[in-house]
Amino acid sequence: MYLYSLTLQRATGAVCAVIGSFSGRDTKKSAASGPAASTQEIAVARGSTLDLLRPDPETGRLRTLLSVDVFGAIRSLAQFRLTGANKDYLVVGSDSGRLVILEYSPDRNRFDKVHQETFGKSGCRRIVPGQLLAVDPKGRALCIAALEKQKLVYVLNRDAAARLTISSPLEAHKSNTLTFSLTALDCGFDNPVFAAIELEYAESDRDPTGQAANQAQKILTFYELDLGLNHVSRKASEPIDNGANLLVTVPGGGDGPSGVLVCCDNFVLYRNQGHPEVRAVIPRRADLPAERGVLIVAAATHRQKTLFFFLLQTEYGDIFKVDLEHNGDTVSELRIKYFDTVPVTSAICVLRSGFLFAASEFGNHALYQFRDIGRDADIESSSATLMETEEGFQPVFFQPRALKNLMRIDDIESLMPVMDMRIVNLFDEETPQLFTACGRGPRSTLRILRPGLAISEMARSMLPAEPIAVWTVKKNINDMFDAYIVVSFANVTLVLSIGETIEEVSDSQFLDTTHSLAVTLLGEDSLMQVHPNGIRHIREDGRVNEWRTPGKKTITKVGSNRLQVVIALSGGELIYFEMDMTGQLMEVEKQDMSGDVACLAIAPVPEGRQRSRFLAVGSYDNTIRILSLDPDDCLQPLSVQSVSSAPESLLFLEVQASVGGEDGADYPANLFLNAGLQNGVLFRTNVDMVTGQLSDTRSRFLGLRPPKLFPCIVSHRQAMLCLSSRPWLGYIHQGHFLLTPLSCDTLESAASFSSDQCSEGVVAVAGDALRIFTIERLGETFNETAIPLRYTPRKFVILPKKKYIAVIESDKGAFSAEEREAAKKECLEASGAAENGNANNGDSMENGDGQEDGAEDGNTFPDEQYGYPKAESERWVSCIRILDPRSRDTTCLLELQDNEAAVSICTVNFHDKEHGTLLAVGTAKGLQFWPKRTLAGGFIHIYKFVEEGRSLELLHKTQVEEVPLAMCQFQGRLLAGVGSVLRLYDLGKRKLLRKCENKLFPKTIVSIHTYRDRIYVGDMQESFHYCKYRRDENQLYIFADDSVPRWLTAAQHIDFDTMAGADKFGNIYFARLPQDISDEIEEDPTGGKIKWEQGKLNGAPNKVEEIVQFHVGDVVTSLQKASLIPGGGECLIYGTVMGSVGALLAFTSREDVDFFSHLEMHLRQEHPPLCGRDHMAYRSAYFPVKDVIDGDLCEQYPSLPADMQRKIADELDRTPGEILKKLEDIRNKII
Amino acid sequence: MSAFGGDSWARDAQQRKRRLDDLMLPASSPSMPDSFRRLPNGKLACLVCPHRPVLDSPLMLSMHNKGARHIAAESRLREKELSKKHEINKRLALSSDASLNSGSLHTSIRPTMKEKPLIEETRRAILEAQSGRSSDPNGKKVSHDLNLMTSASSSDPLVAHSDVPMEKLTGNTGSILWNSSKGESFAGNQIRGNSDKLLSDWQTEARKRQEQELRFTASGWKRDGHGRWYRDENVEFDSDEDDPNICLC
Repeated sequence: MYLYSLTLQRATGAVCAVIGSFSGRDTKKSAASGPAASTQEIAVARGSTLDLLRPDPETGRLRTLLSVDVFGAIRSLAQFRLTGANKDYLVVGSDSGRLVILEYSPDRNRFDKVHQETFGKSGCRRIVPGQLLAVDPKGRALCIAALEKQKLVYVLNRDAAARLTISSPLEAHKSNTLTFSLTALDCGFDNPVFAAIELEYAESDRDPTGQAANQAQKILTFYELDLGLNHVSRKASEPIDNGANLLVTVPGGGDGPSGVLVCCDNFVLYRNQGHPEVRAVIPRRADLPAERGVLIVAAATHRQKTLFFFLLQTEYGDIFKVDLEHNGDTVSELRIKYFDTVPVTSAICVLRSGFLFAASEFGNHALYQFRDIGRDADIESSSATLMETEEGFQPVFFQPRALKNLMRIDDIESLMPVMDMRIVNLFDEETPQLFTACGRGPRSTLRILRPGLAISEMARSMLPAEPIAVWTVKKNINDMFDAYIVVSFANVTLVLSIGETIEEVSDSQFLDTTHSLAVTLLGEDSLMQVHPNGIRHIREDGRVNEWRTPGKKTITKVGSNRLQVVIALSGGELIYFEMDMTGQLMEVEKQDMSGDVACLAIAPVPEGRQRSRFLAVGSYDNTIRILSLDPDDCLQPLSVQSVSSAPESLLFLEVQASVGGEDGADYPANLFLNAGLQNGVLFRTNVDMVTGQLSDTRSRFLGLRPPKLFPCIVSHRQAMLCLSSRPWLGYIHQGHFLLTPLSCDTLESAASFSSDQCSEGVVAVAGDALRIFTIERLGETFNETAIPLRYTPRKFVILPKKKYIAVIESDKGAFSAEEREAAKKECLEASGAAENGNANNGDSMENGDGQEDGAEDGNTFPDEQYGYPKAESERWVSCIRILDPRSRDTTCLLELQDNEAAVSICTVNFHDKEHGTLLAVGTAKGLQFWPKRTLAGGFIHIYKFVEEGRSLELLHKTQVEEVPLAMCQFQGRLLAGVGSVLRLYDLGKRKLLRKCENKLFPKTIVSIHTYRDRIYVGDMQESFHYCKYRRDENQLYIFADDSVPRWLTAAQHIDFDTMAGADKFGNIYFARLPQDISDEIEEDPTGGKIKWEQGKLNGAPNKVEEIVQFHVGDVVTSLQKASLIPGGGECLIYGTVMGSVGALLAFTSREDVDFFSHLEMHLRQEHPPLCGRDHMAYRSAYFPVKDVIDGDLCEQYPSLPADMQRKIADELDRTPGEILKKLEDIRNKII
Repeated sequence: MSAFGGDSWARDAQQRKRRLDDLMLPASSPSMPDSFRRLPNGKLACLVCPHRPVLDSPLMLSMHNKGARHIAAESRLREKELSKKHEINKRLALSSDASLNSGSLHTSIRPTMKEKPLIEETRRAILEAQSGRSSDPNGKKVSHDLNLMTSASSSDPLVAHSDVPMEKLTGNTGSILWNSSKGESFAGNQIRGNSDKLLSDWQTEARKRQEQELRFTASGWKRDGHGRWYRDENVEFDSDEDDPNICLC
C-alpha cells in the first residue's frame, strides 16, 4: 500500500510569535502625517509551519501573507535589525540542530534563507540548543541555548556590501546547569549582555540524602560578550527567587534603566547588575484558592520614544501593565496595574499601530485594538507599598472586569487542540461534515467543518416571482460602485438601483416588459440590454438605440465585453457588433453556424487594445470553437476542441501577468477558457494569446447540474463563480489557482456586486430570493460553525438514528455549574445588584458586543474570556451532553457528581434485552496524576434514551477496579478495556455482568475496534493486539500483536487484517497481519488458540507487520476513514493537537507512485526545507518513512522558480504544466 | 486462571494430549485404511510390512513408518493393490454378464444405467441422454442442502464456521436424503414425506439445542465430567438467570 499524505488544514494553534518589520516597507506612502513608520508583520510559528500575518488597519483583520511548511519543529523565534537598517531578520530555533536566519522578500512573497549555521544533532534534545533564543536589541549578537548546558553566541555584522554576516559560535557552556529563560539586556552600544535564569543540579545529583536538592537555588546569570576580545564571559551570577520562570528585557541605553524584569511565582522583580532588587506582588483574583500561585506566561514590551511599559499575562489570562519609575539607571518603583483579561496566550504582540495580537494557547486567536493604555485608576500593586508581614508579603486582590483598555476586533479561528473527530453526513449535504471536539476548559467547542469557503450574507430579500438571471452594471466605467441590479424573470425585467438602500426604479430606460439575456456597460458610459427581440443601447444622455432582429428570429445567446457584442439567433446565425469611435454599435459581420449555438463568450479586451481577438462558441455537437474577431478574418475558426458533453456556459478568464507582489508568485499573463458542460464537468483550457490554440486542458466534476459560469472580483482580481448543484469559486490565491466550493445552497444566477457598504460582494438569485453576500477567508479549506461546550470535550459519539451527538466533557480543578452559579449569586447579592438574568452557565454563545456593553456593571462576564474560577486541583467536574447539531441545542446535560469524570463513551445494543440502543459511559472517580496516578474507582454507567433520544436516564452503574478507557459493542454485548483487562459484559438487572475477561494486555487498553469475530485492541504503550472470542469456550484470546512498542493515541480499523494507528510522538502507521497467517488462523478450527497457548516470550504467537510509516510531526488525536468528495474514494483523515487536519490517500496505480516518489525526491534535493531540517530525516524522525509520499512537499513545486520547475520537469520527462495538473488531480481526489 | 492464560486448564490439557497422540499416529490414507492395528494390550502392529512387527507406542510406530523397509513394503503393497484393481476393471469390461457377481454391489451406489460397464464415451452419451430423467433427485438434494446451509448461517455466523458436528450433521442428512429419494421409485410418496419431516424436525431440534448450549457456555456456564452444568466462578450472573440443568433436560 502506498499513501499520499496531504495536509488539508494547516496547524491553527501557535507556539510562539514575534513582531517585526520583515517586509521593510512603509505603511503608506501617501500618509504624509507623522514619520514614515514601516509596517509591522507578525511571524507565527505553528509547529511545523511558519506564517507571516499582517493586520489590515482598514478592515481590522489579520491577513495571512505567507504560510510555509518548514518540515521541522519550530521551537523559538526572534527578530532583529542591524543598526541603521529598516528591515528585520527572523531567527528560527528549531529541532534541526541549526540556526537559521530568514529574510522576507516582499517582492516574491517568500522567506529566503540568509544563514544556516549547524551546531548540533537534530531532534529536540536536552543539550542541543534551539529552545531558547535571545538577540541583542541593537542586533549585534544572538544567543541560542539549550535547556541544559549549551549556550552559543554568534556575532552578527555586515560586510562591505551591507549583507548580514555571522561569526563562528562562541561557547558559553556550563555543565549540569538547566536554563529556564534567556534574554538579552539592552545596554546601548556597550558590550552585549545576555541574562539567563539557571539552576545547577550537580550537587543535588550527587547528594543521596536529598538535602542539596531541597536547598537548590536558582541564579540569575549575566553573560557578557566582549566584542573587542571576541569572547563570552560569565560576568555575574546572583541568587534569585526560586519561583523565577521568565525574563523580560527592560529598555536601556538612554531610553530606560536597562536590566531585566524577572517574573516569579506571585512576584515581579526588577534586577540589574549592581542594582538592589525592586519587588512588587502580582495582584491575585479574589476567588483564587490560597494555595495557587500566579505565574506570568507571556510578556510584551511597548516602546514609544521615551515611554515604555510592559504587558504581562498570568496563567489565568489577566494582563497587567507594568511600568517602572526610574531616574537614570536607578529604578525607584515598580508598579503592576490590572489592565484587562483575555484568554491565556502563548505569545502577545503589541503593534505600533495600536493593535494587540493575542496568540491563544488553546482556541481562537484574537486581534485587539487599544482603546486606552491603562491610564485610569485601577487596582495596582507597587513596590513602594509592598508590605511584608510574618506570613509573607501582603497580597493585593482584584476582581476581573469587562474589557476596558482593549477591544476585540477580529478572531482567527483555531481548532487547537482537536480532541476527537467524526466525519459523517448528518445534514444530508453533498459532502460529509467534519465534527471536531476542540478547545479546552471554558473555551471548548464542537466545531462543524465543511469543505469550502464561508460566505457572510449581507442581505436577503424576497422577490415576487422566481428570477432566472441577475446582473449588476455601473453607470460609468470609472465608477467605484455598481449603479443597478437588473433581475430578469420569465417575462419581465426588474431594475433595482443601488444607493443607501436598494429599491426598484422605473426611469432607467431598460425595457421591462420582456426578459433579458444580458445587461452590461458598453464603452465608457452607455448601457446595453439584450432581450430576445433585439438589442437596446442606452446612451449616457438618455438616447435609446434599438436594434431589432430580422424576421421572426429571436436572439438566443449573447456574448459581450466592453466593446464587442456577438449574438446568436435561433437557427444558428451569429451576428457580430462592434462599438465604433462615436459610441455607436455597428454590425460588422454575419455568419451561419451549422446548428444551434449552445453558448457564447468573448474574451475581455486586452489592455491598450481596441478589441479582443477571440470568440468562443459552444455547440450542441459537443464542440467548442474559437473564432477570430479580427477584421481580416472575422468569424473564421481558429481552433476546435471537442468535449465530453454539450457545453452549457462559457467564460474567458484573464490572468494578468504578475511578477511577485505581496500575494502572488511569478506567472505570465494567461487566458483561460472555462466551459461548464451539461454532465456537470467544468472544463478548463489554456488559450494561446496569439494563435488561439487550445492546450493544457483540465476538467473537474463539480456537481449534478451543468455549471453556469459568472465573472466576479475577489481580492481585486478576476475570479469565476461556477454554479452547479453547489456554487464554486475559482480564484487565484498566493499564486495558485484554486477551485473551492462555497458553503451555501444552490444558486440560480450570480453577479459581482460593489457598493459602499460592501466593496467586493456577490449578488445572486436562488429560488425567489435575492441574496447579497461576501466571500471570506480566502485560501482556507474548511469553514466552521462552532457550538460552545462547558468543559474540555473528551470524546463523542454520533447517535445514528436520531442524528444527535453525545459528548462527554470533563475538567480538573474547576467548579461545577451549580457551584459557580451559587457563587455568582452570592457575589451579586453581596454587591446588591439585581439579578439581570444574564446567567452564564456555559451554554451561551460567544460574548457578543451586547454583552461587552452590558458588562459595564462589572459582574457578569463570559467564562470563555475569563476562564472558570479555580477550584482545588484534585477536583473533577464532568458532564454528558446530548446535542442536536442542526438546531445546535443541547437537549440533555447531565453533570456527574462526586468527583467523577467521564473518560469513554459508546452506544451499545444488548441482544435479547428490551431497551434498544443504550449509551455506555466509562468514568473515573477521584483520578489523580500527581504525585502518583491513583483513583478511587472506575464506573461504567448505562443510560437509556428517553424522549425520542433527546434525553438520558440512568439505568444502572457498575463499579470496576480501574479506569475504563475504551468500550465497544461486540456481538450484542459490551467489550470494555478496564485498565489492562479486556472484559466482556452482558446487561444485568442491577449492573453489568462480567462474562469473560483476558488480563494479558501489557499496560492499559485505550482503543477497541471490532470487525466480524475479530477484536482489535489498542494498548496505551504496546500498539495493537488482535483478539478472538470463542463462544463455545467463553474465552478471549490474543492471536497476534505488534513487535514495536507504540504509545497509541488514536486508532482506526482499515480492513480485516489492517489497523491504522498514531502514536504520541507524532507518527502514523499501519499494522497488517500477513495474509498467510490470517488465512491460517481463519482456517484453523481452534482459531490459532493452541498456538496462542504455547505463547512466545509472553507475547502472541503471530506478529503484525508495519506496512506504512510516516512522521506527521504533531500528535494525532483522531483518525477517521471517510470520503470528502461525493463519489470519491475513501481516505484516512486525521486531526492533531495543533489543530491541523490531514489526509492519507491510497494510490491506485503504480505509475502515480513512481511519478510522485520521483517528484518528492527531486524536491528534497532542489528545495530543502526552510528551517534546515532534512526532509527525509524529519519524516523518519522515529521510524524510517515507509510507502508514504509527502504531498505537502510536492505541493511546494509551484512555488519554485520557473527554471527550477522546468529542470525538475525535464528530469521527470514531463512539462511543468503536466506536473501541476497531476498535483491538482490528486488534490481533487481528496477534497 | 491457568498457566497458559485460559480458564479451562484440565480440559485443555486433556485435549492437547489427545491431539498430540493423534498427530503422532501416521495419517491413515484412503488407499490404505488400516496400515496398523491397535492390539488389545495397547501395542500397535504394522499391517504393511509382511512380517507384522509389533511396536510399543505411537511414537515408535511413526519412527518405524519412516524406515526404509516399511516404505519399500508399502510401495510393494500399493503396487499389488493397483494391479489388482486394474485386473478387476479389465475383467468387468470384458465380461458380458458380470452383473451376477459384482453388479449387485454397484447398483447400490450408482443409478441403473451403470449395469454394464461401458467405455467412457458411451457412458457419457447415455448419461446425457438420460439426464432429463435423472436430474430430478439430484436437484432436490442440492436445494435441500442449500436450505440447510442458509438456515444455519442465518442463525448465527459463529455457529456456521466453528462447529464441526454441524457439518457432520449436514453430511449425514445428505446421504440419508439420497437414499430416501432413491426409494421413491419403489415406495410410496407418504413414506418419503414422513421421513423427511421427521428428519428435519430432529435436525432443527438438535440445532436449537446446540444453540442453547452455546448460549449457556457464552454466558459463563461450564460442564463437569458428568455433563452437568455449573457456574464459572469468574463470571457474574443475574439473580434470575435460567439454569441449563433445568432448561436443557
